[in-house]
Amino acid sequence: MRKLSARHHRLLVKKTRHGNKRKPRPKFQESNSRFVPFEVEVWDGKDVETVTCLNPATKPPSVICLNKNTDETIRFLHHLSNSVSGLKTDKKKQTDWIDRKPNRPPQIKRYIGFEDISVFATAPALILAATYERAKIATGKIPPAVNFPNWSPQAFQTLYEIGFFEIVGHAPAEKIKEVYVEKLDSSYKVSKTLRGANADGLEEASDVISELLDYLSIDEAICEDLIRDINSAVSEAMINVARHAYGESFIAQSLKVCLQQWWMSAKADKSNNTLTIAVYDQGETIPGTLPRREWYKEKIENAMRSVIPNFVYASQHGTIDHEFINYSMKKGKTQTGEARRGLGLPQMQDLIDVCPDGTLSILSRQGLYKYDKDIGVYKRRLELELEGTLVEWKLTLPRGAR
Amino acid sequence: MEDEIMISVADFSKYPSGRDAQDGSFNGEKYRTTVLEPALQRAISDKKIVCVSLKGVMSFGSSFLEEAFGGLVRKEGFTKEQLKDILRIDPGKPNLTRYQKTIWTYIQNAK
Repeated sequence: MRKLSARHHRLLVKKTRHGNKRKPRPKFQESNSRFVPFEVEVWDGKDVETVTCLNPATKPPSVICLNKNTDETIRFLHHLSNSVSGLKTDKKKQTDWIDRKPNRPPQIKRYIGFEDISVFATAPALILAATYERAKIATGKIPPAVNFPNWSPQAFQTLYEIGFFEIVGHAPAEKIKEVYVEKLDSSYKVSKTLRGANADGLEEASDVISELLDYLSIDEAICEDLIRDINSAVSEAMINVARHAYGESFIAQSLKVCLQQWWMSAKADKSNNTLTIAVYDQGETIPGTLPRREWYKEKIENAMRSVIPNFVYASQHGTIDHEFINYSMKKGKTQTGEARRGLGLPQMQDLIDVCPDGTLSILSRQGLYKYDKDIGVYKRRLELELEGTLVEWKLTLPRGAR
Repeated sequence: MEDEIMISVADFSKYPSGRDAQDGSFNGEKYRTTVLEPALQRAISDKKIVCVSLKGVMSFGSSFLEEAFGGLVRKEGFTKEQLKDILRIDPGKPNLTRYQKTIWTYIQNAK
């Protein structure tokens, strides 16, 4: 007689104990019985309309901040990047944000609820605006704002001031100005998002920074030098995007629409006298572009094999992205391999050294690199990938004498 | 000074940045080829020196400075010794002295 396999043996024991019945699967209706589609108000820049929402709202973390709540914020942005459509094919499909069919009310599948946000930092707001801008272009349709009067004051003010409504096509946004005035917290100010393809946007960026320093009442004696140092660092971030972020092969291979630009915004916070500047792109990332050259791969592999035997670069995708960023922060380290190049990223860090206090954070693909004037370098792998690269300076400034 | 040809970076742009046209309109290559190199050639023929003022400039990106000044050695064929004789960098303000030093470092390191 043939011996029973262990699996077959377990199956027979189970059948003896519980009979030949399959475990009933929950019926679709039952599993959804707790959730009842509900009505929400949507606004696409024209009229407010009531539609039915078929799923519960997606709840972002209450603290959306890449410094204070890094992993949860990355998880939210990762989800956003995957769920908010930016695919190249979407325009052909003519998908709409609101599903309209005859003889039934218009419907949306789901939405992101900003009701419970207590902190909404500038950088994630900038990434969110960039994600929706691409989605608008990919679909050819304006994404509606859902239940916006219920958004938390923090979320509403940040997205309003950053120009989110204009970016996604809700202009003129005068209609929502009343809500903005009602929720306004005058202890901080966020600049409108600037966009550009290279450093030609520097003068405009400089004007924005100047305005925010004025808002913080920074002593005029230090203002000019500070703006100059900020401009020098920001210009290098813009140039990096122009030069490296959107290579031809990346654009060709990308499944998503490539806007080939940077997004920039800044925030002045009177409560702690800080100026935060963020520059973001949706490009190939620093770890993605650095090893493009074979010489670099070999160099990295040789160096890493002393630690990890049989190290092969391709198999390490994502795991050492923070090390790649760290490597590129050293002067003269770049994808070109020429010593005269690769000065831009270190100059971004130099800004921190000339300021009284501050941090530089670079998040690119799955790497986090942080430079703090007091603590030095901190780097780690992120749980999930960030799409593109974010460079953020947070400068603590001396109290103004004006 | 009569023996000096005075040029100001701010006359080119208050916001110069980048190496070439890909990086932006007011880039280092453009400044070098349209302003700096012609001024240096004139200085050689007239036996003068070129004084470059940094006053009024609101950004000093490393890409711009390396391409504009380091490029004089790399691409225009000037020697480092020659530039020491015919080029003077005037910071204009004490706070800009570090950029003056940076420029000479780029010239010195250019190959």
